[in-house]
Amino acid sequence: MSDHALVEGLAGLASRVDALSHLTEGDDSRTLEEQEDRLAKLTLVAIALDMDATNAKYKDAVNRVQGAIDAIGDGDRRIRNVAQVISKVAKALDVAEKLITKLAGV
Amino acid sequence: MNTERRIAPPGARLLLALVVLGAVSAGCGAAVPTGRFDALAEASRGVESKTAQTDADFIKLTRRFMTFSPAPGPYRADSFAPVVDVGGTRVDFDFGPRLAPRQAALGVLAAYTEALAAFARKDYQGELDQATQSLGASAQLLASHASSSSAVKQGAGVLATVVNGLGHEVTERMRRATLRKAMDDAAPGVTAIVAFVKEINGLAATAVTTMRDQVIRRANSLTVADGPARLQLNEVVEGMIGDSSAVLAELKQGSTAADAIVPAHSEIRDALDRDDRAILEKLQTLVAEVKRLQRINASLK
Repeated sequence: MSDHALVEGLAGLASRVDALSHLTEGDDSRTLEEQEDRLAKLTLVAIALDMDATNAKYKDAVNRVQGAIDAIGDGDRRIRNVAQVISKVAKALDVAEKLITKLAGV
Repeated sequence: MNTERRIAPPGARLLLALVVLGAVSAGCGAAVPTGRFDALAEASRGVESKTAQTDADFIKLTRRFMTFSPAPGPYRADSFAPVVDVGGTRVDFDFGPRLAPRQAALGVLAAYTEALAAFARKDYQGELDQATQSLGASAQLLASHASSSSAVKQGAGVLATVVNGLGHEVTERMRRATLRKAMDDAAPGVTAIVAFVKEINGLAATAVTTMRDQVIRRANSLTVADGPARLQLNEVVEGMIGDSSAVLAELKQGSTAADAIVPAHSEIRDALDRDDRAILEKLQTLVAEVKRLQRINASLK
């Protein structure tokens, strides 16, 4: 079974992280920009790959990405804990990167 | 108040009976109207050919994206191949294999509608054979791609079976009945193919948006002094934004046009039971959407 939940999640998270990077300054902003760059690359690779949506690691990656999206919310100025968002995005990235590099056979 | 029932004279009743009989026989034994089948086939082929152009534009856009993200280090022959760094590993993101099954699925759909159009005519055997060959080749391509969904493979199989069943010599009455059955049997396959086409168009649109946004971000991080170099960069970024918008418009309209195939197919099927001269609104909508698709001129350099 194949679906596109991870692609949609990664693209949506990249867009939110980009918006948040413009609302922050200094190290936080630079970290978010780097994360947005990694998310964009992952999105492109995920589109090209055929992924099994029933795979437990796939589901975990989708959940982590969704968790990070929820942590950002609307990405507006109400964001209080940027450090927590960065941490959640980092975890989602790690899980998704491991899954995708494995599926890509590298 | 006059409550007397009005009874039509015998002559008028006979005329009414003849009209009803005429209408019924028009739905049973009259020649099948071929124009609507031709229009459906032309529209399906139109979506297929325009989608092929969209895919070519999409691949060109990917190359342009790679000029902003080349492989690190000195230039090599594969410096601009679609490869990105993921967690310190270089990973391929070639979209070709993802797009190819969609093209094959559209080929199956176009060949099926051409087979219907051929069968609706009296001298159909040659064209039907040609459409059958074309459908078989597209179905084979579709089956060979790992990323084709099982739903779309099944859908193509349904259409192939239907077209194979069209091959026998028929009377006009049988032709209509055969078309009815063929279109009823094929309907789920047509729906599955259209759903797959829209799904891949959606993925392609996400890729285009992601590449465009990345190019904008990277262009913003470049430090180029005002002058000819800045103008050159402006031109490249403007080209990427403009061409992305055009490809996005093609993908969106491609989905709209593909979506219009299902109701048009259903309407033509239903019309086989009714008056042949009726105007088919869903078919008109399909033709209009395909014309809109063909008017989007986004051929990239």
